[in-house]
Amino acid sequence: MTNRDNTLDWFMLVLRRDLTLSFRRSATYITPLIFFLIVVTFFPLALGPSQSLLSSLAAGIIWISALLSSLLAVEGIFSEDYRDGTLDQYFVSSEPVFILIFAKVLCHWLVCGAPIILASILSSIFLYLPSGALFALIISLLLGTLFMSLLGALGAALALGKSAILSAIIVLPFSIPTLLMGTAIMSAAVNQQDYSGFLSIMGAMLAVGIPGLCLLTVEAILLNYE
Amino acid sequence: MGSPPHFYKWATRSLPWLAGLAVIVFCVGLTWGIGFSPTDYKQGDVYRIIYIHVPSAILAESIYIFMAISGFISMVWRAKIAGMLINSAAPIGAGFTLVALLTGSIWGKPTWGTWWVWDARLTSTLILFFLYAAIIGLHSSIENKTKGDRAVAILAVLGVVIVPIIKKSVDWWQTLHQPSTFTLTSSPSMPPEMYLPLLVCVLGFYFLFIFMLTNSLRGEIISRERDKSWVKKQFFKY
Amino acid sequence: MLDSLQLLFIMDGKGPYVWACLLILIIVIFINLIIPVIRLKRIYREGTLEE
Repeated sequence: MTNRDNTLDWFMLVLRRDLTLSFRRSATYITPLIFFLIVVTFFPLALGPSQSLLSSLAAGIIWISALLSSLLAVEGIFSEDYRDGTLDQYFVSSEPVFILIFAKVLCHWLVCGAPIILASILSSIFLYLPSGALFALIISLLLGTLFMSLLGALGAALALGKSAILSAIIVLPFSIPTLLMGTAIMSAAVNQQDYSGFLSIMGAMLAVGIPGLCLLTVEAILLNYE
Repeated sequence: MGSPPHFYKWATRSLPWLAGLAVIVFCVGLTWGIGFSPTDYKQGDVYRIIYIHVPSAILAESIYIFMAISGFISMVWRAKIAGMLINSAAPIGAGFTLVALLTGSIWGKPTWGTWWVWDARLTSTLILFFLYAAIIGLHSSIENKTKGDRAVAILAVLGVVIVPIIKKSVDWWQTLHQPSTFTLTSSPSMPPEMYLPLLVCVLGFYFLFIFMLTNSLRGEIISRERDKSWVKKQFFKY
Repeated sequence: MLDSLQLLFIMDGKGPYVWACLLILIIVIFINLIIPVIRLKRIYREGTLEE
């Protein structure tokens, strides 16, 4: 067996373990979903039920709610594994740790990001989002929530054992490009323009962000072992 | 060379010189700019805020880059002093960013008629302020200061990658959402009587930053090393 | 002399804006300079108390 297969096996192992753990505990995927829906509901309550107003704000509202809920959800991603010593095992193994960390983040995205995207379809009806923009919403949230999970994992690693609001303060300024790209895609889609350019920029950000942010996250976790 | 006692000695010795240089250049620049440069024909005397606003904004960005470089050094070579430098530079940078924001909005009131516009530059400066705040908040929340240095170094390094992206995307965002009604850059090029004092001001602000950084680095070194023998020998006589 | 100083101070009615900016700058610089000094003083005091 070559080394590469070996690493892939480990990646799949971590992914499968985390998925199993998440599905055993329904709170992991239900809480971000409910949080997202509650935040979305608050906007019409605060702004009034005017259909035209909500329709023009819908994309922004959904994006902000998705950012916040995926950020809050990722906050505790390492705390359990840090406490019971699973993370220690990653570091003493001979595998590149950032790949294992990426497996954890990917699992988190599958478990929390997917329900949020489903809920965003529902809330696009609540907020009268123009129906032509629905596909753009799904695809932009798909990329955006993954980036948020990566960033949030770094924040969680830096603020390990500290308050959730601290990791939010750390991460939110860095998530601004994602937010702007996402809303740019949405406004292009609403105006029926071509948004593939913005989409590829987001893809490029992910391509750099996956290895880069995972490496920084490993560095941040290591701080707790000194 | 990179040892804290050495740095402390160097900082203490050079502090009065740095202070003198900074105060002289700073005062010359500001007096020249505010007192003696000609009045702008379009904006009147209120344009003199430029001699405070522009150097602060330049420093706000330079200090962030400086912090990122120190962060990189402290991450790669584990140099203690680089970590201390980030920690001493962060409040100074946040201060100058705040000055740039406040003076910008004071300048905006008489010229644009409003305290705040969602202009690309204003927005990215505001975001820069949040980044400084995140760094200061993270560092103060970590008890072990060496650990805090390395945590902050990670953020500073991430920031230097993200800040250009933020600036670029804010530019796009701004052109997408509203035409730029107010630009500071499109004004005709300034006559030398106006930009020479500005140049002196920028220089003075840089000297001032070096002085403030050295001043704050001294405190940082002593507070970190207060249990080391050289500090005890020098200050506490035991 | 006094007249020109007064002109400089008022600056065609725009004086308050400019001087407010200068005040903000000086306050921020002062705070940033004084905090490390206070910190050092406190360490000296605590250090001598220990003995």
